[in-house]
Amino acid sequence: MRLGALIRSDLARSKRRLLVVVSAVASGITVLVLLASIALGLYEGVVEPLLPRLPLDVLEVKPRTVGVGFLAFEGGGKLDAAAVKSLERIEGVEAVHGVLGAAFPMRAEGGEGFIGHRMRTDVFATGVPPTLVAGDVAEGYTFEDEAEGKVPVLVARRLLDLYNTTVAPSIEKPRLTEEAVVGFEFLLVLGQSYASGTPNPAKVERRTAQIVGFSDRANLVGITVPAPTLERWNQRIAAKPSPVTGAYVKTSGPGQVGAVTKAIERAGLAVDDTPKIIGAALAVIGALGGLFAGALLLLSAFGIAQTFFLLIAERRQELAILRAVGARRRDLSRLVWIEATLVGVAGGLVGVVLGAALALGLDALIIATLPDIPFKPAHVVALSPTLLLSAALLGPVAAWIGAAVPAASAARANPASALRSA
Amino acid sequence: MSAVVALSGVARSFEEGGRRRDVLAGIDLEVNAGEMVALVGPSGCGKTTLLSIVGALDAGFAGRAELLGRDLAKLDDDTRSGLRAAQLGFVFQAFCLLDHLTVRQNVEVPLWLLDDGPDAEASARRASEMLERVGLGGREAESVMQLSGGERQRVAIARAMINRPKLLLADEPTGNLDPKTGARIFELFDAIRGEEGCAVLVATHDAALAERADRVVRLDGGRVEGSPP
Repeated sequence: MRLGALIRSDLARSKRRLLVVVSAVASGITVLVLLASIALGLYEGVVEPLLPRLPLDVLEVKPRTVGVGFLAFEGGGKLDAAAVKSLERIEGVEAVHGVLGAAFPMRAEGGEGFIGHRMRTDVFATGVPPTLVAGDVAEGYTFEDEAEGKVPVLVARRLLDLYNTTVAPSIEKPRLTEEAVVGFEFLLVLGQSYASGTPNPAKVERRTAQIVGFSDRANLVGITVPAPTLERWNQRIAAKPSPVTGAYVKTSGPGQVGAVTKAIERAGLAVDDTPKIIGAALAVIGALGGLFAGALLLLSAFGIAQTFFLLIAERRQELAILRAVGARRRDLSRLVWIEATLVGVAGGLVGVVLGAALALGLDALIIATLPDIPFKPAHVVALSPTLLLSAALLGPVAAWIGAAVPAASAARANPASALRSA
Repeated sequence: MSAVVALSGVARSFEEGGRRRDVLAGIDLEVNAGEMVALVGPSGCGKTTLLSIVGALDAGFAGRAELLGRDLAKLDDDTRSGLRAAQLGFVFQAFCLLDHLTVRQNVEVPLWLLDDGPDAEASARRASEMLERVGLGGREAESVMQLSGGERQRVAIARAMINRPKLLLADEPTGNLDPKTGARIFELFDAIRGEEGCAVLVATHDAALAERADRVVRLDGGRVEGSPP
């Protein structure tokens, strides 16, 4: 069976009409690629870096705050070591990682290598379990509690971005990269700060700290050290148990999240659900995108169906002749399927190329015109291979939906009518 | 001599405006290999309907119709299509060429529809041979739209013969042609029949041309003239 010449000549003689259908499919897919790449770009370039997502089965627990005018007070249950222990007993909880605060003042000195003079500042510290941030530690470094030697420190990734976009330009210093900062050492003075002074001169310690990585779970306005290190310092310098500032609760699975969240809230604590709200908003945007893609698919399919109905009506006599000289019903269906698929593939490819080109052009334009602001994204569009492939596949899928009925109609051509066509 | 076509009591009726119209009312007919039979009769006497049944284009008949020894009533649609593609050749009054294809492509179409047809090169070569035989050698690349009526009918004959059919069915093949061209087309049928040994069943209004056939079968009122009512 060689239908190639028939298909080629059919496409050639109907090229104007088919070009209109290809254009319709292509323009829909162009818009889809453009919108989806912007949504994906905003998610990857803006939402994700600003609001690091936790795994679906991990909840961030904080003390509940009550707003009174412009002030916020802690209210409800207290978050302390006992509360962390009680969280572990909730059904569906696999592990709880407490985030510790410092019960003593602290300051830091250093930075000659970067800013040309020694900088002195108060710092705030939090302690997190090393396992929670293991993936953020730079290669060749460790984030473990060491009684002696350098104190490993993690810094918030957003802090570096703030420095690069606001501090560095104002003091006329170059921007810093994560690679340049990792390994940087500075002096940490425990038990003393410019704001609180020296509560107990006998309990002042000087330690060398070293930045070992950047983390989205690190303290935004200070440093983050291993929880056992901070616990030991709190005992030795402040002679107090470590204050708990928050906790990460790992559930035994995403299915447990709802029940565990309710149990935590019943205990008077709050679950930070901002990432989940953003996630839900993105899911809604995704669903709307899906609806748009579905509508687009149906419209394209409708256009293809309408065109092929017209073509088949015009070719009714030819189809009857083909049947009379030996074509089977399925041969005629196949002709329609193949021609529609070629139209769909062409529309899909043209749409993807145009959509990608427009998206890249828009990206370059926005990035070039956007001023240097904190958290300025590197891109506002993202063109993933999955997106491009899915969009390209929409063309033939629309063609197949649209061709189904015309193909069946073509197969019904009556061969006997060829004899009565005189 | 073996029968290529054997009809026995073949009847066909159609529903028109809620009324049944009997077009064929018990046809008995045999066409043997290498024989040319002319079907003649007034308009509406059932010539085209009979050709549709014999050509495996219409399965809605009553009675028994055998083509090359196969009971047409028992064949499914795909098998009938295969039979048309491999064993039958059709020549229509209106030529029924595909206007968007070239002369050679039109002739090749039946070969394209065969599951085990020849490759592109062999197919083109065979089409050129057939065109040479019908006097259209060297015209392969032309559009069929540029041809005269007689030339178009010769392309149709080349198409009908390209599969070396056992039976050539022609429905008023000279109906749209002037008498001189019509006579040439009949000569062509006769020559091809002699060379290929195929049977020819041709429906025609033209009594003079019909006389060139081996046998003339007259249809009237849905019956073969002279057959018992």
